[in-house]
Amino acid sequence: MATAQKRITKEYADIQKKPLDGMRISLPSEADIHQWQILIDGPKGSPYEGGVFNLHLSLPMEYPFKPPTLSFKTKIYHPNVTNDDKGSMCLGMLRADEWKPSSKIDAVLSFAQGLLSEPQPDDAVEGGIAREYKENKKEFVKNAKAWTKQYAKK
Amino acid sequence: MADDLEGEEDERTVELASLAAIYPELVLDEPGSDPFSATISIEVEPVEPLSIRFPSADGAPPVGPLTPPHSVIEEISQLEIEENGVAPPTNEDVYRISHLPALNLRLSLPEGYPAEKPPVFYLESQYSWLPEQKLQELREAGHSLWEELGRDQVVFSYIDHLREAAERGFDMAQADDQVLEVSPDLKVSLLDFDLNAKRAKFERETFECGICLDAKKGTVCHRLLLCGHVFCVPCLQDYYNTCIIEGDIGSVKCIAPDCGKEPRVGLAADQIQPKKGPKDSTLEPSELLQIPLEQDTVQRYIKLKRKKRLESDKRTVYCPRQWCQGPARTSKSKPDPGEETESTDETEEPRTYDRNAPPEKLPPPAERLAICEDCNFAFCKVCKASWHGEYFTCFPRSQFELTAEEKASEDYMKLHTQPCPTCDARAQKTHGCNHMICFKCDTHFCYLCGAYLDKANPYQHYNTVKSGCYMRLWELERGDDGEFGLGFGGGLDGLPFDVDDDEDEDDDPAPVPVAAVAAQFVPLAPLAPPVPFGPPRPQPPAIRPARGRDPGLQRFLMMARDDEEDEWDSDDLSDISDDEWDDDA
Repeated sequence: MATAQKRITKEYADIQKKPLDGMRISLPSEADIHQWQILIDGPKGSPYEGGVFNLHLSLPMEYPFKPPTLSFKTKIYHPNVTNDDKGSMCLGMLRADEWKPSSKIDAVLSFAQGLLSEPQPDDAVEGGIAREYKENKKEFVKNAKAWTKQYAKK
Repeated sequence: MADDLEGEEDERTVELASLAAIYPELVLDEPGSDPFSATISIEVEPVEPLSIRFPSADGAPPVGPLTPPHSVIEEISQLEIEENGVAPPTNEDVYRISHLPALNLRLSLPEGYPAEKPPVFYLESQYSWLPEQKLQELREAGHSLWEELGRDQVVFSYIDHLREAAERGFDMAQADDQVLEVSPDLKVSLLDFDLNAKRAKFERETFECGICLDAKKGTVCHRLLLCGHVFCVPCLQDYYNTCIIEGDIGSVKCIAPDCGKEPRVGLAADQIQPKKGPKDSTLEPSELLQIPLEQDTVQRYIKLKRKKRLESDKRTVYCPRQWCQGPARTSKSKPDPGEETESTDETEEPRTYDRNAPPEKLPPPAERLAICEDCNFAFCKVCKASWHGEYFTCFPRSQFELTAEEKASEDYMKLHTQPCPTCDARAQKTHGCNHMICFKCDTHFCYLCGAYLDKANPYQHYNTVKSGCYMRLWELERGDDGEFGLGFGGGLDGLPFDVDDDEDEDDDPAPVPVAAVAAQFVPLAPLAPPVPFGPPRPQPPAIRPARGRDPGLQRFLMMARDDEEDEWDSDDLSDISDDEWDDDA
């Protein structure tokens, strides 16, 4: 899978050259370019503002033919992120059947960032939070803020 | 005035020299011939592609009677209009061509040019595709230009004029409703020229492949026919090969993130006409070969695609062979992947049929044939037995096909007769023990369970605990005509096919999955009279076999369906009786 190695290296170099706003990207282990660590600042105006979220991006050996997986290492109160210790998310472009090999990592990360500003309750993995988001936004914001304070402190 | 003379001569030389500097493609005539002649070819690549029609040779109007392939295209065009709101060319014979064979201009500057004599222009189009009238017009333009310029040096202006005209497509056929007609003899040449020119242009370009993110020369890239997106060949090969190997053929389509989400625009219009319905955006096998992919891989792609199409068709029936279960094609299967636009208006037939449904709910016999895609087994899609031809009915017969009398007769047979395990001829016991000898083929069998009995030692069956008929030799001694109750529940009929009673296996080397009934048993009577077999045992009588279908044939069909070996092979039987059974005893 020389293709994967080459492409990931290229994408990593591009991202380092032109960093995405509100994100810091690094490799936990220089030897393994398939695992990325991403720190995302909670977007302004969202209940996550003021927090820093640690995400893990795992690029399969078949990348870019298979989609990467993205997970939250920092606990987050969000309808599209599982509430367990995996913090996994699965939607939109990350689904295996919707993934297109010419989608790039920066698009994936921007997508995740966008999700913090605008959750997609209709595509939720946490039904309870989704319902709360739709029916009792105030309560949701309160909870999300509390979690951000508790888990995602800078 | 030597200077003047020289200057006059120079004027032509200078003009040609400066032209050669501006247009490197200008070719001066060989030294020795006329020094003031040259040729130049002028490329014709109109900004807006030309609409060209090639009327058929016999002069028939292009919109003739609709032949089937024609109508398919029309249909799809119609669909596209509805879906995209973009009107495709209404006539399949109209091509939008953006690269046309060049014009050749040959010019000659005579003595006295430019002041006294006009330049001489010969103009022709390669392949002579341009109408003569247009050429004439262009030639005359040269002369009038010379006049307009006050009889001055005109060649540059003229070439420029021609180039501009070429860019405008010579003002021919650029409006939507205008079409240039060209002799059909030139169709292949023109289309070929267009294709080659495009390819050459494509190869000179550089593209950034969206997969490896490298910039690649056009020579190692492929432009997808359907959407026009470009990727490099190694990446496409990698991706499509993986998809096809993993069986994910739905992904064999364009890889661009947003492709297919918006309606196709412009680009494809002057290229190849789309052949498929709008929903299916997977690639044609022929395009995969073009990329190129290995022939084997493409073959697999075709196979999987076909299979998927069959499986998505609710009317597909599946092979009844348990080890196969492949989808089968029937007369109702869609004949061609190109015609996927139909189907919704037809009433969907169920995939399985209830044999006992009223006949009008079942397909007519002629349409019951199905052939497995995988193992080529031909079977009836109603009764799932191997194909019996359209003149035989399915077995057992549907109750709707039987009269009350036939039905009663069949029911009676199920309860009160036992078929011979070899030839399926039915026997009814009127009295005596349960050791039977078939009146037809002399097979020895047990009346209770239908098992084979050893000719040499038939009673062992009734002395073996495991046989299920232990100590039951004299059951139903007074006959099985219903008057004395049933000791065993009739024959094996009506039970599912695989009632291999395992308990018999020790004594009975060939368990008898006799499921078929000689159904057309009408009338039941008269019974054959009992035949004396020798004291003290009375010979069990046998009845005549059912008329109609040969039961042996029926069992053969069953076996063919399960792909069994013919266990009734006479050699086997003699082997069994000679060796095994003796060993047992």
